[in-house]
Formats: sequence, structure tokens, C-alpha cells
Amino acid sequence: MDDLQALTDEELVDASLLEQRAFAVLIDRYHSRLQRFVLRISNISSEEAEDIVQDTWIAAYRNLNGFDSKLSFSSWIYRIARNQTISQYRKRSVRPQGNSVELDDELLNTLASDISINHTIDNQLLKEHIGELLADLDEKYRTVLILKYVEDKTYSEIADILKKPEGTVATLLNRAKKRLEKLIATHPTHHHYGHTD
Amino acid sequence: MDTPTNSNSIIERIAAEHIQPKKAWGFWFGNAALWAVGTVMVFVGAIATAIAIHMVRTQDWGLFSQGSGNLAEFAIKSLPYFWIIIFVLFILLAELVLRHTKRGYRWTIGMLVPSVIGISIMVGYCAYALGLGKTIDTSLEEHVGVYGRLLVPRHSAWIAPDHGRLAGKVIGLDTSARFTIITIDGQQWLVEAGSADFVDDDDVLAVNVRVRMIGHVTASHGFRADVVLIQPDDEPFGRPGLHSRPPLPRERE
Repeated sequence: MDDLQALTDEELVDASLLEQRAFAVLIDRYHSRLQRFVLRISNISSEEAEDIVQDTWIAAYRNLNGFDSKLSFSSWIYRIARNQTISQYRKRSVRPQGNSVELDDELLNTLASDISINHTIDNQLLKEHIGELLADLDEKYRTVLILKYVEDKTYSEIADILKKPEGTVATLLNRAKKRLEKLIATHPTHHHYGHTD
Repeated sequence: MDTPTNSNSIIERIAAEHIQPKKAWGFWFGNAALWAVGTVMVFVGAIATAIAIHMVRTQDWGLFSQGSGNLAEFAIKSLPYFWIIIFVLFILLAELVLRHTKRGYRWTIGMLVPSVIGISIMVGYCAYALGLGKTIDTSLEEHVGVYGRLLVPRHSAWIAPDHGRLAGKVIGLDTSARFTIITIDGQQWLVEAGSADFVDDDDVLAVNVRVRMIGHVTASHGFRADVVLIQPDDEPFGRPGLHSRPPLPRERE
């Protein structure tokens, strides 16, 4: 197995067509990440998220020959995971809402500086209530914010995951940040912190 | 080293359900098919361009203005609406299809639509220059009844003797100053052209030659021509008799 561990993701995709051990290595590398991602963009239980991620791997295995080597494997598997999540929600006719999201300090500061908020007060608000703030956003805005600030994806990777042009991703991100700003400004605890505009 | 649980259960499920990767040629074929369909749509847009250019360029804007018709009405009737609609429709369809190719999602509308329009127009112009616009337009008119009926407003612009415009094929020639024509709707007219200006002296008036004329009505199915345009190879007003009632024999004056 050690020889397979040394391979890149893209090399493992090729190897998976010959032996399933290579596919197992890919699963081990990405399974937890995909679970957290599915939980963040939906409001399902851990068990349901596990089912979706399992279905994601099954779909990925079926479509191994369709993997575009110009993409990163990470973008490809995230794309499948997102599609599986949306597909589950369409079957249940329920709008996906976010689960709890945690930002580390560096990413939190990046998000805070990217949106127009008072750093001292609203950073704190953002940190404490990021989960419910994101849950109130539409799925497309929540997903793009999570991909950028939680999963730390580049614009190019997000474009590949969402299958949209980079310009559209930039526009979506802009709109998502504006919506988040509004939610922060109108959040009940916003006034508790004594922030005035 | 033991394989962790997640990968174990998934690999076991793959084995239990006999799941196999889909064949590579299927993905290749799917993408190739999308490109083929997109290309065909761009090509249809090009054909629409070729025919539209043909239709607009074979209108006698300059000659028409000498008649007593309404130029705005003539212009509106002359526009190739059918082909403009086909062009727009197929460009939009091409954009939709090409966007679904493997990397098509990366193209913005601002990149894709102008490119598709540009290619269609360039190829269309080449097709027009090769005569395809005229060939297809004529063939459709002869063999597709619905298409021919769509063109009646365009042709009818030249069957407006009360407005000083008349066109048809020469079926009888007394002299170059007096001849009989049959129009697209099957009507026969006796034409007096003794004092007319003949445009394009290289073409000789003869039976089966197609003419377009500016002048005025002198009697029932009699027409005095002031300007005669002879264009034996050009049929912007369609083939005589194509949309006709049975022709009625008439004597003039």
C-alpha cells in the first residue's frame, strides 16, 4: 500500500482502473473532508451525510474514465459530492440549509476583511454565529462562501466544482458577501455589541 | 496496514453490486456528439446567413424607389424574417449545446455567443459567395410549399402594378417594345416598353427571360414600362406560376 500512498491523486485515478486498492487510498484521503463539506452545505444528519458521501464514491468509481485530467481530482470529487447532495434534496423537495460551520482564525480574518464590517465587534459576531448566518443564505451563496473560506479553494477550483465560468464565480461570491453583510447588520446580537453604522 | 473502515465498506459495496467503471469511449463519444450537434447548429446559422444575404442583395432597392410604392413597406416586406429567426434560434441552441461540452462551462456568454455568431456569419458569407444562398433558397421555394408561401409577401412586392411595379417571365415577344409576361401568381400582362430604359444592355430581351419593371397600368392587364431590368439568372421574385392560380388568357387594349 505504501507505493500507492506516494502517488498523486491523478495517478491514483489511473491506477484505480487497474486495482481497487488505489481507489481505497483516494477514499481515505478525501472521505472526511467530503463528509464535513456535505454537512456544511446541508442540514442533514451525520448518517445521511455518510450515505451521500458513499454514493459520491460509487458515482466517482463508475465515472473514473470520465475524469478530466485537466481538472484536479479534488475539484472533481467535490463536484460529485455537491451534485449528490443537491440531488438528495431534490428527491426530498427540501431546500438545503447549512449545518454548523467553524472557521479557523486565519480564514475568519480573511472573510471579515473581505466584507465590510467593523473588525472589533463584527468579527466576534461572525465567529459566534457563522453557522446560523450561513444557514440563512441561499444554497448557491452558502456553497460558494464555504468553498472559498472554509475549504480554501481558489476561484479556478470553485469554477470547476460548480461548472461555471470564473467570472460567474466572482459575481456569486460578491453577492454572497453582500448578503452576509446584510445578515450581520440585521442580526439581533449586532445591536447587543453596541455597533452603530 | 489495514485499510480503514470507510474505504473497506465502499470497496465491498462496489464488489457486491458488481459496479464497473463506464467505458472511456462512452465519455469520448458523448463529448464528440455534443461538439457535432453544436457544429451543425452553427452551420445552420451560416446557411441562414447565406440565404438572408442573398435575399437582401437581390432586392432592387434603387430601382424600386423609382416606382410609386411605399419604400418603408417594401423594406419591411423584403427583410428575411424567417432566416433571421432561424439564425438567432440556432445560435442560441449552439451556445446551449457547446456550454455542455467537457470544458464548455468555462466559457462565458460574452465569449461564446460572439464567437458562434462570428463563425456563423463568416462561413455564411463564404457560402453566399459560392452561390449556396441562392441555390438553397430556390430549392426550398420549389420543393417546400410552406416555405414558398412564406415568401409571398416578398414576391408580392413585385406584383403591385397599381403601385408601378411588375415582374415576371417573358412568354411572348412581338418586338422588344411589346411583349407578354407571366407573373408569379400566374397572371399574363401585355407590356409596352417602347420608351423604356433597359437596365443592363448586355442582356437581351427574349422568351423565358425574367424581367422587373417600373411603370404604370394602362388597361386591364396592360402595363407601360418606364424602366425594364433584365436579369435572367436572378429570381428574387420567384418562379413564375409557382404560387399561381391557373393562368387566364387575356387580350390587351
